[in-house]
Amino acid sequence: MGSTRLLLYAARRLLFIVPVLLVALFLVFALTRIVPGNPVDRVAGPYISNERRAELKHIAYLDRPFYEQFALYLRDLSHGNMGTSYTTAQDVSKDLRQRFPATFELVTYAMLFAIAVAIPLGIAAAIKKDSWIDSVARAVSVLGVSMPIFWLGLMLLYVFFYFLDWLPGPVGRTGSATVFIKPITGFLTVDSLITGNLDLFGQVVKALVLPCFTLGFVAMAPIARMTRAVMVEVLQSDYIRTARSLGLPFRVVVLRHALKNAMIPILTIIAAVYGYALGGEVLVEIIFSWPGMGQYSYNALLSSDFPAIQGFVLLVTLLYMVIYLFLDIANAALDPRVRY
Amino acid sequence: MKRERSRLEDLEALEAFHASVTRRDVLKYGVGAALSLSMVDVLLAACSPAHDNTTASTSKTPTDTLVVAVEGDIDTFDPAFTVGSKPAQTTIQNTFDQLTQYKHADKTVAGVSFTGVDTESIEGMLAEGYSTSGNQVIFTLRQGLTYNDGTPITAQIIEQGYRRIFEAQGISYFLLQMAAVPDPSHIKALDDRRVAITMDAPNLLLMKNNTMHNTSALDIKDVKAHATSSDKWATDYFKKNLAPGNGPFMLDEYVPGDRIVLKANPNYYGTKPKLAKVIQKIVPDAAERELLIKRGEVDMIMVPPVQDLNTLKQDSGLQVLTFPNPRNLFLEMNNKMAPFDKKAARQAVSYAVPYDSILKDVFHGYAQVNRSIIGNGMPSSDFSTWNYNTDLKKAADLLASAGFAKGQGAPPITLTVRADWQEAERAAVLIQANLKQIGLNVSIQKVAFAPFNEQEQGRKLHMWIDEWLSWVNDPWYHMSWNVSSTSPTNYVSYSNPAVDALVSKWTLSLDKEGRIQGSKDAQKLVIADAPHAFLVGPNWNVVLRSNVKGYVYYNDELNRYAYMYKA
Repeated sequence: MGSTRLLLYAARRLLFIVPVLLVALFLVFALTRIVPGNPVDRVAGPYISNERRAELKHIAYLDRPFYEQFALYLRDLSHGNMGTSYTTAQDVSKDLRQRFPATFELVTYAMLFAIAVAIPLGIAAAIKKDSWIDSVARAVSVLGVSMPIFWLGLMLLYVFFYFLDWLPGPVGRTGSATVFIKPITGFLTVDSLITGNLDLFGQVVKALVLPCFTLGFVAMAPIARMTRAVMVEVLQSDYIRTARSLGLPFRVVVLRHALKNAMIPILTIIAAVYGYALGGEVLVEIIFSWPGMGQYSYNALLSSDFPAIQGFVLLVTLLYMVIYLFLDIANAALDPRVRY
Repeated sequence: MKRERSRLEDLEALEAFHASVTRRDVLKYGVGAALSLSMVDVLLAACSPAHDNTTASTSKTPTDTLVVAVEGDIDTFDPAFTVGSKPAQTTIQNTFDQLTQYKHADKTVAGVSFTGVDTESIEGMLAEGYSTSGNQVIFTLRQGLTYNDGTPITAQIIEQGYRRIFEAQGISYFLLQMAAVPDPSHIKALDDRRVAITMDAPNLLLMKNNTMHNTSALDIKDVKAHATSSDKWATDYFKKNLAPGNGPFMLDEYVPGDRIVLKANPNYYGTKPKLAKVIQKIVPDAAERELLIKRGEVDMIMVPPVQDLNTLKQDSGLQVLTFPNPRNLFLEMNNKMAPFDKKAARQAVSYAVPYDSILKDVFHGYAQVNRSIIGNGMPSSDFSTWNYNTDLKKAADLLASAGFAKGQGAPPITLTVRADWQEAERAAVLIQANLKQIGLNVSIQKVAFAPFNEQEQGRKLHMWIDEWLSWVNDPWYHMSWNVSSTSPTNYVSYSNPAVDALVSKWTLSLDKEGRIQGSKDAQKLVIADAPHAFLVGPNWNVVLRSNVKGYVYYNDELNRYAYMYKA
């Protein structure tokens, strides 16, 4: 019965995704057309005839009123056609498929790093409130939220690449490698291991360090602060005091009883940060010449590449919503009070 | 879904989170962080001068591999269409040969000596030779030529390749039309090895226009294999797929947004390249490209930050190559918009431009004085009638004679620059200051590449900075694009019937002396009309690791990797 309810709930949530996507698409569609510049003029250049220019605008529906353009875009989208990018001259869906692994790999490792550091740090800060470790946690949080991500990335590059020469420069996913492999999964850490190319694996890992740290550091701040705040509250609860008075080992009390109850808001913030990172790591990709969706969308914006911008926003919105769907399901698993 | 307490808990936790970061925390840790990071900056700055002048590391790349940091991704792999991406053009240039090419020549331009090309001297490439008779040029192909997939290259294939250019209306269609080759019926295979191109009127432009990478002929077999009912010439397919070529390199791998890798073509008919592989890594940021070459991570960069070139020159691990060329950096004035619809107002602006400051403070000497529509290094370049040395008094007088004394009555002026072009922005600031002194209020507008192009092509800009380098080193080719009133790229809408008459008379003429004198006459008229102010002629700059040799400067500024090697 419970699983049926869960499925029904998931189905309802999936349906809810549609209107949200429509609103997001409408907003981005409107914004791209308000900003000056249109892709046909950019691509066509000065050499083609006015007739051909008009024909290209007609093909791209740009000679029609805004609402018609939007309706036609939705019609194409319903047939699985996200349009053709003016920058790359291929289907936007194919572009996004090609670039998604780079972004996903970067963001996932950055988040794993952020979670691996931030949660223990937040727990330690909560347990040793007002101690030096609490100060460290606060310092990390304040720096994480206040330091511009591009500045951090550039400084890290300057120190660890240019000055110390420990890590590769901003040359994308393969660092200093000069021998490459055909992608299998698209995740280079995995592909290089599958093919047994340890040299490439080493280069790929090295190339991931700085962008992951840059993104991870920023992601770490809210997670560490949230963990600390919630754990402080939970550790003062009656049931924790009871558990401790019953003589349960402190480790068990913290990890099994306190942390589990604190996990719901922590998971919420992790999901929010993960979604933000997937859509918001544009600057990191630009700084590190990372060939992912962020750089793709940045180039699309500069080129007034409407279909590419719309496709990117569509995908990120979708990912965001799917992440939240999984979050709610995870919350249900963690918290028996949650009902459907 | 109902939640009994979890939402409330979330809110409380969020409030706790906000409450836990106090203003005191922000100040305390913020100041601490700022101080500690400033210390890092100070320490690094203290250490960096020695580092800047002598790069400690050597090249990290294998000796048979050239790693090049390129400025951006490709636009298309179709030779007939690529106009906007140097990495795409470079890839095509290195994977396709044309019928003919320019001969190499040691040159000295503006005091700089280098290996370049003699644009008046053309030799065979795919063609072992050519003969000209009247209005016809016959090219004879080398024996045994093949594409890199083994398909023989015949005269019939070359003919079909040109047909595709015309039918699909690629950029080279315009180049051929300009040279009086209006349609594909003018290009015929005479037999398996001979192709004839017939001009409606014999001219000197055809052979030059025909050396460009845009004229590369695709194998018709590949075109047919990827054609569709709505795309007979497979233009969509070849946007993202490089056809089998016939040049010294082959495409090994293309990863969008990341790299374009070339490998040596083992069956190349000409001198085999010394490099086994060329990795073109896409690094859009100029400062990052500079860091990469300094640390030996890449072997070659183009378009380095101009303000750093003198520092890079001191680095023993690097070579800074600078090539003076006929490029024009224009201060463009829309000749149809007030106050620039009056010649005296345009002349006033020309007198007000701080030329010396732009040359020294913006380009740090990596540019040449430019005083005409035909820049230094292009035949017939003539600066003798230019007399717009910076003179604000004269500028103010001319502005008054145009009816805008002290700028009164002149509309506010918007000077537009591309947001990604630092030198243009710096020059704009200097120009703005001088124009203010003669009473013209100028606001600077930075716009992204796409809207800039759109507004420029739509003739919507008022005043702006742009540049032009003609790939064909011919004054009439250059003027056809820039000052002919019917040119699609005459963005300032300049119109002078006398100049138009000269363009019509000399562009296709065979009279070499007459073309030179005619060009000088046209330059005199254009300088007097001042449709643009000629700011400077920026150099083409390349930075190489010290062990990289063999760079040859071509007028199209595309790298020819076949001549390059590592010591």
